[in-house]
Amino acid sequence: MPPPPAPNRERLDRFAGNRAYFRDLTPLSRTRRALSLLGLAIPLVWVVVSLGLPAEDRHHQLTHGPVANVHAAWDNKCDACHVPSSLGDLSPGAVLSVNAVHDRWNAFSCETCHVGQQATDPKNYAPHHVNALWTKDKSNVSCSACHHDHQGRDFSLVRVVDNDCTQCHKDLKNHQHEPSDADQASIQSFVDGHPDFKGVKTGFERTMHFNHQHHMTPGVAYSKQAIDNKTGGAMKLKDIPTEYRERYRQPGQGDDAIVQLNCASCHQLDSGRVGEKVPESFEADRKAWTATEWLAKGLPVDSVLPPRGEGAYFQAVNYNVNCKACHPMAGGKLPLRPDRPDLLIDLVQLPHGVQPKVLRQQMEASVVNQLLKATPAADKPVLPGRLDPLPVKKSDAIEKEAADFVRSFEKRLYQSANAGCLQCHTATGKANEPVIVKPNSPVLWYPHSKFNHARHRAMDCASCHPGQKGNIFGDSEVANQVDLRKPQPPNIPGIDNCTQCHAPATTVGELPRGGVRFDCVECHRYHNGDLPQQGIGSPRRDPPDNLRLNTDRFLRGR
Amino acid sequence: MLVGRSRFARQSFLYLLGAIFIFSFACAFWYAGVAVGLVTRAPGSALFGYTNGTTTIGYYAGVVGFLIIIFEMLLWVRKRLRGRRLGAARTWMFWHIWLGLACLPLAIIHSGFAYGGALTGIIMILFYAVIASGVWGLAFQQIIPKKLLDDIPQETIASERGKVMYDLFEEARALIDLLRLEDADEVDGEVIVKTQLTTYRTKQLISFFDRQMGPFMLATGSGTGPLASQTRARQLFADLRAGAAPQLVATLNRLEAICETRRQLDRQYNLYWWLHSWLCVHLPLSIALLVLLVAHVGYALKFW
Repeated sequence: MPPPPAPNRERLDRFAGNRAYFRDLTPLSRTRRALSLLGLAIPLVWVVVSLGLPAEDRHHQLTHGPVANVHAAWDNKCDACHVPSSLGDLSPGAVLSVNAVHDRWNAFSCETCHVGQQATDPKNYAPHHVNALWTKDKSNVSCSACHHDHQGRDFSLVRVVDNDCTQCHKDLKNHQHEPSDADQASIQSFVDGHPDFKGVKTGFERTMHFNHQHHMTPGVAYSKQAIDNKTGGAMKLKDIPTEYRERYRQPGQGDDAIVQLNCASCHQLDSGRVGEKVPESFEADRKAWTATEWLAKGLPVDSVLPPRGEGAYFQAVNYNVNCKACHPMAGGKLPLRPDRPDLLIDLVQLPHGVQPKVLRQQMEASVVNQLLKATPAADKPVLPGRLDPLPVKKSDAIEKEAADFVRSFEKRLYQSANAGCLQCHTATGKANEPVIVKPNSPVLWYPHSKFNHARHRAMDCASCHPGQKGNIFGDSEVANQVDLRKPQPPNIPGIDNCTQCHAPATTVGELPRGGVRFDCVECHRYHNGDLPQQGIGSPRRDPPDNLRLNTDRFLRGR
Repeated sequence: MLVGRSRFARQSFLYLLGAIFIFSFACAFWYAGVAVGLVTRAPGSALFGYTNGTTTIGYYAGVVGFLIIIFEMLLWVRKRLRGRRLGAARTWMFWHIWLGLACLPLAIIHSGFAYGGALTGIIMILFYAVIASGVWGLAFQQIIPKKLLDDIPQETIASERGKVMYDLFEEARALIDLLRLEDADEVDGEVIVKTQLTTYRTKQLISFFDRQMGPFMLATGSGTGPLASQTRARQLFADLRAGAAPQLVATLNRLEAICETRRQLDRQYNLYWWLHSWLCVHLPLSIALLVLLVAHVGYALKFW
């Protein structure tokens, strides 16, 4: 039952002289009306005044967010990136159709600065893969499909979201022009569907006889007694030539100390200090400088080893830098034949890195020269009146002597298991004329992704490369030398090693796991996808000369 | 209840449950969108996703949100044209509230959880303020009208409050003027014989009116003084009523009722302020929001 009408309503003569009494304003209504007018006037004035300002000031006020730092110079120049429309450009369909408007939003002029190399398609900057096929949405190939600006100064435009990658990689077979050897797994994220790394799946073939554990054993010894300095056989610092010794000296060690190698003894990051003076104060700097300096010994250092700062990758292990100190190819002198102990052939420093076939020619030439020098002058042809003697004519006998000597030496060089080339290298071909298999120790084990060792420098190397340290002797007192010379797996970690950290945060037992970012661009680059290791300075990503900008055009953005 | 047709709290509770269900469904839809790629997955996140105005879903969220805001503003037109057959006000208000609340997640999706530049930042702040003031008003609209019905039986039309109060004052003054006449020693030459007490009470009441009740009734804002308090007013009138003649008691009763009506009108004014003051925020900010939104859309059409 409704309440009875209030007496005041009855009392009030609503129509007495004021039929529109209900329109009378209360003080609150008057306040509301005044504020509403202000609510209309203030923004209207602001917009109108903004429209009358110079373009840059107007853009500054009406922008929908600051652009990233890399584009900050064009923060107030909307038309540097956006293709502006005028009323004349807009058909009713283009305005009324939300799809048309959305499509128009992708009309950016990124190619002004980021011009592609292909003259026919300047917008296609550093294409992903030649084999990539865009079947669903052509707009996906535009820059704005992945790079969203106006997210603030510190926003990273290249840190694109996984979805930009997985839109194809979750169904790769339908996004390729032709079937490829790329893994066809349906990848949703690094922890969902990502296959193990290609190298891990196919296996790495090692061709060098090298054992990390053995080399990390004190003194690179084969027995426990040797380490205890009871039997000898442990390498000491004084056994290393002086010029290499400092690299292997641990803090506080004297020359009589046993050599103790660690990872950094051989593995140097590509952050060398080539070009600087040898520092005198800090021993670690001396080591680093010396290591990298040796790589370019005799060469124009700044050209072949330009200064690098990041240290993302380890330099490839190199004989001259990393092995030669303990495994010199020094010659010494050998008698020509057992019956000629008086005629000593000087085995000059043999070059490293040449195949035996070439090495034989060089050694024979050297021996022939030495034999000619040792041959009595009467045997040499003399031409009176000439200041420059004619080239000495080699006699067949000398050539045969030299060849015999080299063959004999090659047996020691190639057929000894404990010394010579095959101590480290594997070979094919004949025993007396082997072909050395090229070492497989690349700088990049996973060339399709990027990795930065320097970013992981807080970690112990063995955390990701286990099994490289430890006891090589087992239960016995002496190591099995045959086992130690077998090619050792490279121990390059697979995806399971990475996902310990690069995965969603969780706890396994009481141990924390994951929590480190694991998005696609953490490891992969999109542009220049067929050669992803080529950086932004790669010639493949350079703009054509005729499309480069001068300062004025660059700052105008047009 | 403005959120639905029911006036019962338990059914309002059902509306609340419905709102929670819709919100949960929206969340589930959001995460499903992340899973299937409709919503952009945040870097390094398996669950959380985001979008902004340039992504497909963000763009359409902006378009729909803008259309909703246009509809919301049409409520003002509906109120101005209340004589036209434009649908029931309750229906309009129902959709105004629910679509307005639904607009909030759309705006957030469109904004990409960011304020952006000066224009868009101000738009988002205005939008939040409009939503907050709307919720504030909605909450008070659930409580105060019932309180008005229960506590203010003498309620009048808010804009006529001053007129009603003046009428009440006039009525009271007429009663007192009558007493003034009766208080005279002779009327039209005829001597009136009165007891001493009656004379004292009458003079006391006239003095009370002149000093307390009159100013209380004529106060432009809320009345002040002892009569503003119901307890003290009751005590005052009880004192005046003690030993008064029956005719004077009837006058006192009427004057006390007038004071009570005045107090109710004051309370009505206070409640009215709480009931409608939010509109002083909601409406101006809504208008400003619409103006800036039009500028934002126009700018987007030009440059994007």
